[in-house]
Amino acid sequence: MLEWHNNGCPYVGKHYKSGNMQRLQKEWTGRNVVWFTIISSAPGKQGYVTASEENQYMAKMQAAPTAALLDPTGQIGHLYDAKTSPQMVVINPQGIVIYDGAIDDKPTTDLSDIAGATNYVNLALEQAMAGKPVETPATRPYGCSVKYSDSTH
Amino acid sequence: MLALGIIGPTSRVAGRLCCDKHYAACAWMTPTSPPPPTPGKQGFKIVHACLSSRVGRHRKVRPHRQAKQIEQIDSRDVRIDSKECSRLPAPGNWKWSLLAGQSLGPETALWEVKDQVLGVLSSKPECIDLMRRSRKPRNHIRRQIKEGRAKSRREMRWSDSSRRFSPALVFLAALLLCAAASQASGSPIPHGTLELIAENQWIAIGHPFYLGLHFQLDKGWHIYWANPGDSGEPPRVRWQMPPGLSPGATEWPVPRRLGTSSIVDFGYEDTVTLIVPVDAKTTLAAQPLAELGAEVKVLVCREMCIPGSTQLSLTLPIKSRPPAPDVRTRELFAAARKDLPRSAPQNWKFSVDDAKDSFVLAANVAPQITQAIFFPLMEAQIDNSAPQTLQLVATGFRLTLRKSDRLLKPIERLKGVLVLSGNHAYLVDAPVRKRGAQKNNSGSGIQEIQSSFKGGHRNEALDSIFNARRGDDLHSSAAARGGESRTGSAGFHGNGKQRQNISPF
Repeated sequence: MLEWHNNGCPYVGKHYKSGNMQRLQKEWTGRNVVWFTIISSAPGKQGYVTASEENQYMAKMQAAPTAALLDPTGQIGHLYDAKTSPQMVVINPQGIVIYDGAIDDKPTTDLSDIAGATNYVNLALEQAMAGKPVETPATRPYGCSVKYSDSTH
Repeated sequence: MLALGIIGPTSRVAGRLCCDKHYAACAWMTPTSPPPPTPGKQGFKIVHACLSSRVGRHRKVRPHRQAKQIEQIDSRDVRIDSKECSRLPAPGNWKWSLLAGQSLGPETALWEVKDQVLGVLSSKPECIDLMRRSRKPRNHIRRQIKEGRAKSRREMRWSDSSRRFSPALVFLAALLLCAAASQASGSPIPHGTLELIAENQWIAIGHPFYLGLHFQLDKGWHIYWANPGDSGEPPRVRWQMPPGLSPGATEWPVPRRLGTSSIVDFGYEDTVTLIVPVDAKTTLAAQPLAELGAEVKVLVCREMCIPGSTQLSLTLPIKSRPPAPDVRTRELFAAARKDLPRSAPQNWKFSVDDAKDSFVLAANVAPQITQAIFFPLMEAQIDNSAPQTLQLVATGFRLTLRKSDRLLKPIERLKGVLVLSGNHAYLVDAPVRKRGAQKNNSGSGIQEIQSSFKGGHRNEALDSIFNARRGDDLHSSAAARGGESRTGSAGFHGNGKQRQNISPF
């Protein structure tokens, strides 16, 4: 599981302040999913963090990924064509991407929209783990743009 | 404008009142009780602040007395105490919000607070220091206050005998200063203002009319189009109108391409007016006034994204005679209409061919164009960062639009805005025909023109998205990517794009 992250983005904030992302992290790492939170902001760009800043943030938020990966050159981000934070990429044990896109179907910043939303990550993981095909393998991710080094807006 | 008062060293500053230059927002701060860390400088604590919004110039609107709720932000616990605000009788066109309990450093972080509280204050504020006085206030303070209240009529009095500042006086001062904002012309949104305007002076039963949502944004900040593009979110409106009035589909001016070569968004900078047609049915009750409301949520970004939400209102009289235009909004509507895409000429026919990896938008008329850009109305149909190749052919022109890798099902129609050289923008709503991959037509006179903007190196990266490796191999994959094209079939199924259970089309 790859989760693109930017701690200043209100769409990411929606899932962290509500505890939604942390719940997902705890549940799925508990079911042997390797979960990486990836920060692809370039130095000087919004969302860029050092290792200690990210560790502090994760402790404060009680985030529970397997690890946070700092990607300031944007290599990983560009490899996966990550466009927004949050953006979720689910990869199965054979190395195939089985889901890539939005975390759920409510592209807003309102915390109240989490409860009723269809969570694509849960669906993809549950369907794949049950040996079934993933019904929705791709959606348009929603959020703030990933701040690569050429980001201007 | 208020100037910062420099008081003599023996005076004790009892508080500082700061307002932004439009007097749209004021904050009252009192010194913090523990001694400040830097001698000679005082820290201030915001006791309360207010936001005012001028709703409808010179119109009689019922005052809103409810304070606006702002959620907690970060760990600073900026909270709203609505009781004080709602006790205040706001003048006709105003509504109030309140912030309380925020402690700030000596250099008044009012503009830090601004960023923290969703950018509600629009610009750097001006402050005056108010003091407890035992004797007559200095003249220059008097002058400052007078200037600051240039638009208001009341005189501010300091009580000689009172030893404490009466909160009522302070509120009054804030009220007056906020009330003086004749320049403010809209509700504050993060880094801008939003105003609900009407094209006509009144509503006539049976006559449809137009409203406008007029956004003004600080330099460098933008909002998004109906299709925001790769990131962002369009403004959302929830209308409140009396029965008999029904708003129609919003008319969006032609957006601009924003962003980088790899993340492309569509939106507006500076200023934009969204036009909304409203039907005034004959069932509209013949009451003297119609109160129109709009709850708007908008995302305003510039590197940082700040979500905002505001309640707009506008009261229009209802009359039986045909409506007269409002001269004050005439220019805004004219400017907005100039920026709307128009329907294509009658003799133009658009068609869209579904080639394997792209849609080819074709028109049977070839005006002298050298450039074309297509803005898709729906998300996740077109790859926004891919270049759009223009071909002039004998029968017209063709524009190749690479499909989005999020598009999972065939589409029936392609809708959007086509902008041709000379900035002519046309609405497109064309049926999609399924065919094999289109190759160049035989015939002479083919010109292929690469659109002036490049999508860059997307194609290889798009294929590599499905060439994932396990987590611990990410670095080696990234290193191996370099500049070479991917050819390996490991990890690919079918046509090279892994889509479980979806047949390629």
